[in-house]
Amino acid sequence: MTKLVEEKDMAGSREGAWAAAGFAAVLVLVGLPVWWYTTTVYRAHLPYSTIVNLSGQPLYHATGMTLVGETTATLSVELEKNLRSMQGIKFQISKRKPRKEEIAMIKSAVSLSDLDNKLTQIMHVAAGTLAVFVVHEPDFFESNVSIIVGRHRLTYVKPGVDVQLLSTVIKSMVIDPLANKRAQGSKLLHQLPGMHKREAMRQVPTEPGYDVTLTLMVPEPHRTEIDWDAKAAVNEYLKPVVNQLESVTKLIVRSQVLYMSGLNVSPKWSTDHEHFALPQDQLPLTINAIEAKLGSFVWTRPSLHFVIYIPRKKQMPLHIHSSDGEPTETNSFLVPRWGGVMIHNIPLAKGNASFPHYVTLDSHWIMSTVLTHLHRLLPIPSLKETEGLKILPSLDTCLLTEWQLDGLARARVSYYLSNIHITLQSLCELVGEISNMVISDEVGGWVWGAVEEWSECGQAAREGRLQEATLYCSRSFTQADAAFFHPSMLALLYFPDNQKYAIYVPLFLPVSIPVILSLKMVLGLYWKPSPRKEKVE
Amino acid sequence: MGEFAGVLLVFLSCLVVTGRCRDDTFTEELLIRPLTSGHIYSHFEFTTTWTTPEITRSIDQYRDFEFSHYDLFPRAFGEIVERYHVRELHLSLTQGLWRHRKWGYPIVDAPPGAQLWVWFNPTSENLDQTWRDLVNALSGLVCASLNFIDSTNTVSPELSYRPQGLAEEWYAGNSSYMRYAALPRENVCTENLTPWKKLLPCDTQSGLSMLLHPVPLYTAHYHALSLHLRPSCKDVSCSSVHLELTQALSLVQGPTLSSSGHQDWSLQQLFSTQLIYTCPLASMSKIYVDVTGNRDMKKFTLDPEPDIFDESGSGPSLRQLAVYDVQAALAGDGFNIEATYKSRHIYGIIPSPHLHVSRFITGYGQEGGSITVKFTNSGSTSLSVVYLEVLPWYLRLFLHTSHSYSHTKSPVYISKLVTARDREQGWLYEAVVEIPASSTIELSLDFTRALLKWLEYPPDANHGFYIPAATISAVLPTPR
Repeated sequence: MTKLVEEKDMAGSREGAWAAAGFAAVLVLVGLPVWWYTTTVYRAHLPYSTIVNLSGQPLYHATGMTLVGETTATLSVELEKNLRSMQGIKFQISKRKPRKEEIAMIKSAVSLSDLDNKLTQIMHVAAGTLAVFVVHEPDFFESNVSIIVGRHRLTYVKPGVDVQLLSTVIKSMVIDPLANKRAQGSKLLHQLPGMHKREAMRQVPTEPGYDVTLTLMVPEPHRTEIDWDAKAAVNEYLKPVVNQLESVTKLIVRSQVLYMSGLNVSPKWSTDHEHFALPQDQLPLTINAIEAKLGSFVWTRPSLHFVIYIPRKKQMPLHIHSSDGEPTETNSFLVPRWGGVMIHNIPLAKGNASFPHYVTLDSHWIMSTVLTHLHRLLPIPSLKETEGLKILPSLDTCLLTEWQLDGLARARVSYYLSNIHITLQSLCELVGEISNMVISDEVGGWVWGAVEEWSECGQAAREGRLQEATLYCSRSFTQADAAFFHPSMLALLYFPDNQKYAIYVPLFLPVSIPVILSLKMVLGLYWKPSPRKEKVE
Repeated sequence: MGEFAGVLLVFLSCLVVTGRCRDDTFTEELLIRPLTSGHIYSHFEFTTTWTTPEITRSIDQYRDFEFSHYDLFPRAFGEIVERYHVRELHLSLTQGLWRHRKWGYPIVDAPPGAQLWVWFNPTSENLDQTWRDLVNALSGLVCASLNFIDSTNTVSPELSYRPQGLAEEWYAGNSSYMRYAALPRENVCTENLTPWKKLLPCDTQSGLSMLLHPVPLYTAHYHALSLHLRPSCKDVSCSSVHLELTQALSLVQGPTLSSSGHQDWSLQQLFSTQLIYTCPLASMSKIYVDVTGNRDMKKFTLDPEPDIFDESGSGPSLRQLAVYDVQAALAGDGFNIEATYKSRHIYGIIPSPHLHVSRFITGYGQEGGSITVKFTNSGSTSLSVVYLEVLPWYLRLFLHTSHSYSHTKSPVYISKLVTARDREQGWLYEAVVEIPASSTIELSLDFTRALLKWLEYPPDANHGFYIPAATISAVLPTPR
C-alpha cells in the first residue's frame, strides 16, 4: 500500500520536478533576457578608441620661415638650433637668395616703411608663415638697432645680427608665450610663479564668438546730459577690427546706457594732485552694483564688457591710484577674462549754469582704451621695443598686423585642441563610470562629428594650414560642448535605487521563491533514489 | 527753398530745445479714478518709444528688429524681441478679478494669472519652437513660471486678439503668426515687480516709479502688471512709425474711508511713499485725476489745485481730467495730492456698463458640469461680440448641447473650433454672439472630466482646477 503511494508520490514528484525545471528554464532563458533588453539604458556607440588615439598624437603648429639674403651658414644653423627648443611650434626654415627685383627695390627705396610696402607686394609671404630679410644697406637701420619688424610678415635684419635676439623676437611673434603655456596643459599653469599665473589667467577662454558690450554709466542725468554717438564710434573704431578678426573669431558689438546707477566707491580727496583718488584695492568691488544689467540675456556666448563711467559731481575729478599712490596714466583698469572699466572725467559746470549741463565725450580716448583692453584680453602676440629691436609703427593703430593675426589664430587653435581633448576624454570617462547616463543618437552624432573634425584640425595644424585648422577646430569645439552639456544625458541619472527595489522585489520575489524551493525538490529527487534502492534491495 | 528753410528750422529748434535729438522718448503718466463703489483705481503707464531708420524699415517690411545701440529702451527686453522674431507682444500678470459690473471698464484689461499673446514676423522657422523658446526667455525675464506654457494651453484664435499695432490686412487676418496662452494659476508677487521695474530707464530712484512700494501694491483688491510692445504711428497723420513699449500697472485699492465715512484719499495714503524726485529722462510726467461728475469741485476738492482741466467726449462718454505736471511741481519737497470729500460716501446703485458678462460653473461633484456665460447688454443697440473660450483637454466638452436662451432665438456662429487631444492640445471655442438691446443671453457648454494620471493633478488638490478666463471682444458704440 505504501509502495503504491510511494510510486504515485514519486511519479507525482517527477512531474512536479519537470514542472519546476520548466519554470526555472523559462525564468532564466526567457525572462532574464527580456528584462535585460527592456530595461537597459539606451546608449549610442561612441568612438572611445579613436579618442584615445587622438589624445596621444602630438600637438604642434608647423610654421614656415623663409630666410632671404646673403647670409653665413652659421646664422641659419644657429637660428634653427635656437628655434627647435620652442614647445608647440615646429619651424621649417628655408633659405634663398634675393631676387633681382628685390635687390632693385632695396636700392630704390626711400625709407624702410616704403620698402616694407613694396616688398610685401612682390614677395607674397603666405598666411601662417614668416620671412626674414637680410638687408646689407646700413642706412635703413639706426645706430644700435639690428632687427626691424615690418607691418606685414617681413622682418628686416642686419647681416651681423645676434642670433639669440633674433630667435627671441621670432618666438614672441609666432605665438603669445603665455597662451602657448596654457594650451600645452593646465598642469603647467600651476607651476608658474605667482605673477605669471595671474598674467596667464588674463586672457579670455577661447570660444567661437564673443559679445562685446559697451556700457556708458551716467549716475546723474539731471546734472549732465551726455552726448556720445555710440553708433558712429563703434563704426569708426571697432568695425574695422571686427571685420579683420572675422576669419579668426566673431565679435558682436552692442552698446547701452545705464542711468541713475553708480559704482559704489568712496574715494578720498588728494590735496597734492587736486583730485579724488580711488585706490587700487577698491577696484574689485566696483562692478557688483551693475552686474545685473550686464551680460547677454538670450545668448550663451561669453561677454566682454567695457564700462565707461562718468563720476558723480561730488566725486569729480576721479582718478585711479596705483599701489604707490600715483595716478595711473590711463584712467582705466582691466578685469581679467571680463573686460575693462574706464573713468571719463568731464569738465565741471560753471557756477550758475542751467541744468542739465551738456557734455560731449572724447570718443577717440574711449575707443582706443577699449581697443587696448581688447588686445590684452585676446591672446595676441605683442612685441616691446627693446635694445636692438625696432617695430615699424602701423598706419592704422587699431588694426592688427598680419603676423599678430597669425599668432592669434595659432593660440586659439592650440587652446581649442587641448580643450576638445579634455571635453571628449571627460565625456568618455563619465559615460564609463556612470551606467545610468542615456546617450541619444543626437549626442552620439555630435561626438562622432567632433572627433572627426578634431583629427582634421590637428592634421591641418601640423601642416601649417591655419585657416582650415581654425574652421575645423571651432566646429569641433561647438559640437563637443553641445554633446557634453546636453540635458538628455541626465534623464535617468538620479533614478533612486530604492525605487528599483520597490519595483523588482514584489515582482520577482513571489515568483522566484516557489521556483527555487521546487528546485530543491528536483535536486532531492535525484539524490534520494540511491539510498532508497539500497534499502529496497 | 521754403521746405528747406522749414526743415532747417525744425532741426535747429530740436537742437536748441532739447540739447540733442533723441531717437527714443520716455513718458510716465498716472491716472487716479475714484470708483462709485468706494474703491480707488490707479493706473500707471510708462511708455518708451524708439525710432531709427532700421526700426522703421523692419516695421514696414515685417522683418525682425535689429537693435545694436540701446539708450532708454531696456536691453534685457530688446534682446528677447530681437532673437525670437517678435513684432507685437502683450504680457500681463494679474492678481485679483476686475469687476466690470461695479467698476466699469479698465484701461488695460487682464485676466487673473498670467496671459501672453504674441504676433510674430513671417519667418521660415518653426513658430512652435520659437514660441517655446520665447516663453522660456520671458519667464526668466519677469521671474514668473511662464515655462508651463506648452502645446496644451497655446492656441491661435481666429477673430480675437488681432494686432493692436500697425498691421496690414494680409498680416492681421493670418492667425498662424500669432500665439495666445494663459496660465490662470500663476501668482504675482514682489519678485515679478522687481524685474519689471528694472526695465524702466529711471529704475526706482526717481519719477513716478518711486511710488511703487510693494506693500500697498500687494494688499490691493486688484493688481495687474503688464508689458505691451507694438509698432505704432508717431502722430495722427501716421507719416512716421515707431516702436512703443508700454509698461502698465493697474491697481484697485480698497475703500479709503476715513473715520467719518468720507472717501478721502491722498497719494501718501494710497502708496505709502511720497514723490520726491522727478525722472530727468522723462519728457513728460503727468498725473491725471478723473473728476467726471465732480463739476465745480462739488463732490470733492483737490489739494493742490490742478494745473489744467482736460475735457473729452460728450454725453455718456464725457471725461474730465484734472492734470498735474509733476516735473513743474516737484521743487525739492515731496509732492502729494489730497482729495477731501464733502459728504459721506453712499453705497448706492451703480449704473451698469454697456456690456457686462458673468461666467460660472454649474453642476456639482467631480464628474462633470457646465460652464455658463450670461451676457447682458444694457444699451439701446444690439451688439455682436466675439466670445473666446480656451479650456484644458481634461474637460471633455459636449458641443451638441451648447445652446443659448433668449427671447428671440439668436444664432451663435462658431468662427473657430479646435477639439482637444488628450495631453497634446486644449480646446479652443470661438463664437460670434449677437446680443439684442437691453437683454440677457445665456450660453452653456456641458463637460465631463477626464481621468487624470496621478502626476497630472496640480499641487494642492483643495484649490481645484483653474480654468483660464474667457475673452470677449466687442466694439462698443460709445467710446468710454
